[in-house]
Amino acid sequence: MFEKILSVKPEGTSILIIDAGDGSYRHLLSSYVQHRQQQQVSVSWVPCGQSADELPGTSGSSAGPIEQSDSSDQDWETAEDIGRQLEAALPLPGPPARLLVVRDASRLLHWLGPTALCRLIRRSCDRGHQVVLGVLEEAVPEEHLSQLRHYSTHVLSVEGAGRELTVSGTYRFKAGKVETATERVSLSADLVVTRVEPARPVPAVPAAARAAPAAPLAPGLTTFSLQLSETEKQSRDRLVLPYLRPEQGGGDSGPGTGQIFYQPDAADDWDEEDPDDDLDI
Amino acid sequence: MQEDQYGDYAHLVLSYFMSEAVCNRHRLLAASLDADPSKMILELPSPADGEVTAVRPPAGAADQRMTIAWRYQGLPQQPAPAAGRFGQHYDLSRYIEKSAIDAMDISLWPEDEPPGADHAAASDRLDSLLAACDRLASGAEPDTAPTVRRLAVRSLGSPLWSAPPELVVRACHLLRALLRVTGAVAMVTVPTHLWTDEALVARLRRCADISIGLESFQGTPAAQSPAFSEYHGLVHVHRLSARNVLAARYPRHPDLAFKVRRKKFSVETLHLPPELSETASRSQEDDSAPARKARPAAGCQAARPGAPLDF
Repeated sequence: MFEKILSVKPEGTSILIIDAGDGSYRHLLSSYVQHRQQQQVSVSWVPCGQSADELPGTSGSSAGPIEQSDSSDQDWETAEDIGRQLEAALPLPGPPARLLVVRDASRLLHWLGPTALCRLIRRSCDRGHQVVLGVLEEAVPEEHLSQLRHYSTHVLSVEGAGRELTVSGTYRFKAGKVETATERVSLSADLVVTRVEPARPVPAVPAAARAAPAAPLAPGLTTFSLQLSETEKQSRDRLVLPYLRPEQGGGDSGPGTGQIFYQPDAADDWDEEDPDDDLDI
Repeated sequence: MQEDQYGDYAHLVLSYFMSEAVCNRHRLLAASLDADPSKMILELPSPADGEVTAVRPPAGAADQRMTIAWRYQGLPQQPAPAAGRFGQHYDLSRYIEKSAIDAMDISLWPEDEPPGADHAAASDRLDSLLAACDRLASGAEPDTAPTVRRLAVRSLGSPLWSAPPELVVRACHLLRALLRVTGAVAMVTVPTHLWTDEALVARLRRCADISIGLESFQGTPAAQSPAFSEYHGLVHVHRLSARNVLAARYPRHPDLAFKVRRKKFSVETLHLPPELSETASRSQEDDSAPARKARPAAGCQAARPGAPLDF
């Protein structure tokens, strides 16, 4: 799946890369940007402000105003300055398609809120460009993250350290198809994707199991139950059918033999005599 | 209408609503901040069994001489019904022609995009939308026959509105009050899956006469399940209109599923498919082989253990 988004046309799409906390998403983001640059796509880096470590609520945070970043052409003092920079970074509609990269969206989410970023994503995609955002999952409230996911075409969750990454992705394609996949992505020293393979090998499914609805479904989808719980399965296995009687002193008769157990009652004439013995024919 | 996770099917239903307005020549207001309203009305599905024309087909000639029903010759002509055929099938692969769209009375919101609109307060934005709805719903048409007014709002309360859910609920409440006095009809899709407060979602449902939620199987394990293989999602009917009746009539079976075809969007009662596999129900017995061996031999037993005749 990850190779698919590298090969399809990216115009009008957005990719959200969520880092689980190791900071390893930067390698994947840089690798993707490098891949697009090799395809002669113009890349614009959106200014992001302070580093994520300096955000309030994290260790080493600063409660002061936004400090000037290391970029010489940025002169921020308030969140409005960042907002204006964001508006200026929005490319004009029309070809050629550009790639907008937000290296650390968690900073912008802190200072501008999710609305500005969602608007950036929406407008860029409507104008035929592509947006790639990286965000630290720990630095962003889940509510803001869900709003970014709502506007993102592909959502990748990255784990791992170094250049061996585990990418869990939800991919939406133009036909409306949504696919999910967990893959191991290997990057070379110069951030080129060298290998993409499923995280867990897919076992061969026998024909009998394929026909059975074995995949567990989320509860609450319907008012009736489609599967049995463990207790229900055990209860069904323990059930003794009414026409079966417990063994009476003896082992298993084995297959192919049949025995009829008859319990005569008081009205039966059960004896060994031949009832036709007194016939006078 | 509560949107599904990706909003595709809710927007599809909204496009059906707008297409119905175009086919029946109703006045329409298309509003959205998530999508360009002008593009929304250009991508409306066309009816499957005909084209929508810009000009209404003329009524029968009034000067035709009647030879059989001659007693009705001099009676005044009844006005032609304003609406066309109600309830049609739409072809998703074709759009309504632009000429037919241009001949319609369609309003858009927002009409333009001034630079300061992005920074406007959320309450001002909602008030502007309600004002546009009021203008359409209350507008008089002295020259033409009165017709139905339709309001289509897409993704109200999405993050682009930057409005807290309480304001969205208030706006829906005011919209319903507006519709009560004007007789217009509105369809509003809301991405409630982004809301964290379930109480507000319940309040939102009560602000509408009809509240329906769509739950798609896209990207979920249910999409791979054989039980849901024929369907694209579930329909949850939360509330139905009880106007002018004692009580709303809810469907007998609450489990409804929908499937989308090129020319049809059908909602069906969800039921279990017929069990055709011989081994699915026997999987537990295979797992408990030691328990089966301890079971005594029965009279009705096939020669081969595990045969289909065993019961």
